Amino acid sequence: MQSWHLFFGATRRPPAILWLVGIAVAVITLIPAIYTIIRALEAVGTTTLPPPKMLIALVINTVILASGTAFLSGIIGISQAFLVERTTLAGRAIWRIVVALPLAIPPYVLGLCVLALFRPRGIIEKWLFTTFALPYGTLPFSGIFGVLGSMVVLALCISPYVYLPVAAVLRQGSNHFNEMAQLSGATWYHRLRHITLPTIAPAAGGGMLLCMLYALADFGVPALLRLPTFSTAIYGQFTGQINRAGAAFLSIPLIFVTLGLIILEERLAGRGSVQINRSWRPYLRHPLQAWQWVAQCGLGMVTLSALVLPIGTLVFWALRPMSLSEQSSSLPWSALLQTGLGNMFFVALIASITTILAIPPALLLRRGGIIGGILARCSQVGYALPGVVVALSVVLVVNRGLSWIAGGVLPLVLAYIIRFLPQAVQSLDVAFNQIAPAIEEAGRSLGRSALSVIQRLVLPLAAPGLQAGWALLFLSMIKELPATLLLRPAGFDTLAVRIWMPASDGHFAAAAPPALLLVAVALAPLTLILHTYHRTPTQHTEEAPWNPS
Amino acid sequence: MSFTKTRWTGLGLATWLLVVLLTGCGTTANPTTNITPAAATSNDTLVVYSGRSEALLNPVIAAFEKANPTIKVQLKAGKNNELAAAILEEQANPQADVFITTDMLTTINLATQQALMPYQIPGTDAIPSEYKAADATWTSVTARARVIMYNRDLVQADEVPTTIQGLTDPKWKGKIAAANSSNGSFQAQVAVMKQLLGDTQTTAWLAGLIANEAQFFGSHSDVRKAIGSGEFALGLVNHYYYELQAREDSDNNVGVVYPDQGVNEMGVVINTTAVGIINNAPHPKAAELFSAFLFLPTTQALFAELNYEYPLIPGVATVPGLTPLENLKKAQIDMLALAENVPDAVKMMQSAGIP
Repeated sequence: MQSWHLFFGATRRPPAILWLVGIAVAVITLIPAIYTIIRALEAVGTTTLPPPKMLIALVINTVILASGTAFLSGIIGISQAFLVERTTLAGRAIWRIVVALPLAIPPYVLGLCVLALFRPRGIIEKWLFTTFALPYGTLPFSGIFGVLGSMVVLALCISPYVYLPVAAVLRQGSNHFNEMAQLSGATWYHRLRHITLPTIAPAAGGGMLLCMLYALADFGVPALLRLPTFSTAIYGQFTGQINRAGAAFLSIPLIFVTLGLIILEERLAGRGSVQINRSWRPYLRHPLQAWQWVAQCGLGMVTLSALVLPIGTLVFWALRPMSLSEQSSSLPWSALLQTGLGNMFFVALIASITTILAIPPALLLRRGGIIGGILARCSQVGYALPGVVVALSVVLVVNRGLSWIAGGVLPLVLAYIIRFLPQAVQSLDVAFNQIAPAIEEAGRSLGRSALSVIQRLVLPLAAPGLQAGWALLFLSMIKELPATLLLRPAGFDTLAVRIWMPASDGHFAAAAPPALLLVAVALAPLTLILHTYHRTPTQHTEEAPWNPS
Repeated sequence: MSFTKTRWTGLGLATWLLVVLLTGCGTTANPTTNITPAAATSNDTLVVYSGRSEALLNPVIAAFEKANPTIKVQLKAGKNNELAAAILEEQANPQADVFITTDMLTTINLATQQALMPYQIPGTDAIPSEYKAADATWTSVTARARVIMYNRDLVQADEVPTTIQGLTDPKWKGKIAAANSSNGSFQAQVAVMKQLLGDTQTTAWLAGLIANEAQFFGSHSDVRKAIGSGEFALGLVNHYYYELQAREDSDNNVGVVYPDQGVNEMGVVINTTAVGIINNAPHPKAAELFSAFLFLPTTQALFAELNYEYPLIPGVATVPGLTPLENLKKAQIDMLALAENVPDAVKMMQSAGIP
């Protein structure tokens, strides 16, 4: 199989135009990494870095947070996918959609809500005190702080990054391998070990990698939940001393860790892919029987904490009468709607541009040999860099080399493209990887040029994946805060900025309306993602599924 | 066969969506964003970067635009020091005209890196010399005091420490809230202590906070809420956070102590918000007008009223109940030396174990 693939792989060689665009994209996306290295060199020999004792604590916190978030997201996402796609879960048509919805909740918003409810002397402890006279400090509410709380909040919001691709694979995976194994007398363990796990490994690995990188770069949640990490330390470097060199120096490990993780993920997941062919048959669902209620409770718990809790808290805040100082920092709904609408169109446009720009690197990743692979990976280096570092690198480049675009909205566009291109490349790679090489090779052998094959076969076949990738970009971009805050032209507004402004002063009642609007706006592209991920090949099979029993 | 058709439909849909979005954006995004290149470069525009929150500046800007109808102010509010970092990165091609900070040390830092332009703002002669640059690159707009805020349900007024150093008394173990080592006001306070009390006493004080298991927060808004709710009994904040908490609808039973007022004590630490005009600013004339506007008695009164701060122009009243600045014993410090002290102060904080 592998050698066959390699042998015919030559006919999938990408055309020159892909190389040109791919190189251009790689150069653009390397801007933050180059900036970081230049600025970090200034830090050598200066004494402004945090002391070693603190650095070690930062490393430990960051490693635990990132791997813990990925692990927890993996457990949540994989079990959700398995329950929804492979068991007789009651109400699975609804669960299938509901478990993906937390993607619409920005983690910092969930963090704010968790903090308000669960902090010591927060809403819940106060209520217990006034209603049941439960003395303060009886229950360990301070447990929400630190690495555990941050991990849970992040994983609840981003576990759909694991759920969506794994569910898609489980849904599209054909039962015929399983049937063959069953006929050969393989036990359930063997089938799990040798069929199911290898099938979902690339999707799960890719999703967990995204979660890990997200946790590495995230500032909002650990800052709220009082966990010092590399990201919070990098932000800390700016305060007081405006230490750009120190911030860059601390960013360097993040670049290498990102690079290492991307390579590791590719090694672990291998080139596994799910290619749909004619012998596709749907899986039989495992009967849940007595476990039904356990599964329902588990899914219900996650949904309650990731969806009901934040939306409920936001509605509660939005309905609460505002204090005088809160009124000063709130916008009327009409202004918010206008901001939301403008924000939506802006983000939709940039997501489209980013998706198009991600096509060449995503194609080169597996079709461009070693050099193509390096180019594609270059465009992923900056993924775990905190938004403020990306933003400052754009500020520098724009005002040194591209001063004609400074002052407008273009620097922000550039930063969005740089920040989220890695994510687009990742999802496009999955989409392109599902196309059987034989289809492309057939196209070439019929005399079509490489470019024409891409235009007329690869892109149309990958269209659902492109849509899903676009929608994921839309979601990430509409939630983006740190780069937006710094790069937006004066007077330019987004919903995330509208949330941050009052929330940073502790005016939650004023922050709730824009947060609710953001959630509403994010739900629209989610339907597009769900539509794509939930396609099955069933619609077109004429023959009835073969039932082995 | 139908399979391919579905995929084609998908692509068609995506293309259609793209077209709709592209055209939609052209017509919709511009009016909401209010940004056109012409407006950004014309002479009647003013770009203000501000570390102070938008809510506190909008009334001032509205008043300014009313007084100067030809000038349109574009405000970019954000995090104080990130905006300062952006100003430094923009030095080759400055984008901002005026920078308003929440922390005098940030402006000093920018001034030493040649990012600010000297301008003797009319009407600021009466401002004490320690609150403005000798070369007129920056001028303080309002003052704030570092105070001890406490929860009246948990602490009796006569129990509250009257000095900052009183916070290291073991009886406050687990009861203290403060900002963390990346907070500008806290950094400035430690730098002042380092200058006035010396390294040994400052290090001992920081170690005392750690020994007392003080909790360090990302922002002072968190600190005031934690004290207001009773999660912590007392803590260190700027005075207006006390004023803000005391005016909340709930969790408002809080008190305040202006520390270190005794004969041999160092005096309360004062920090200021400040303004500076960016070197090579694109609209220097408007920047000068705006800077001067900040020191009009009416504008200063707005700051006093909106954020309970101390106006720096004589004759402007503070909010009722605020201890007048002139009645306070203030820590006497050399500002420039203080700015140089900050990196060391931060290092001391972090070495002591403050996150």
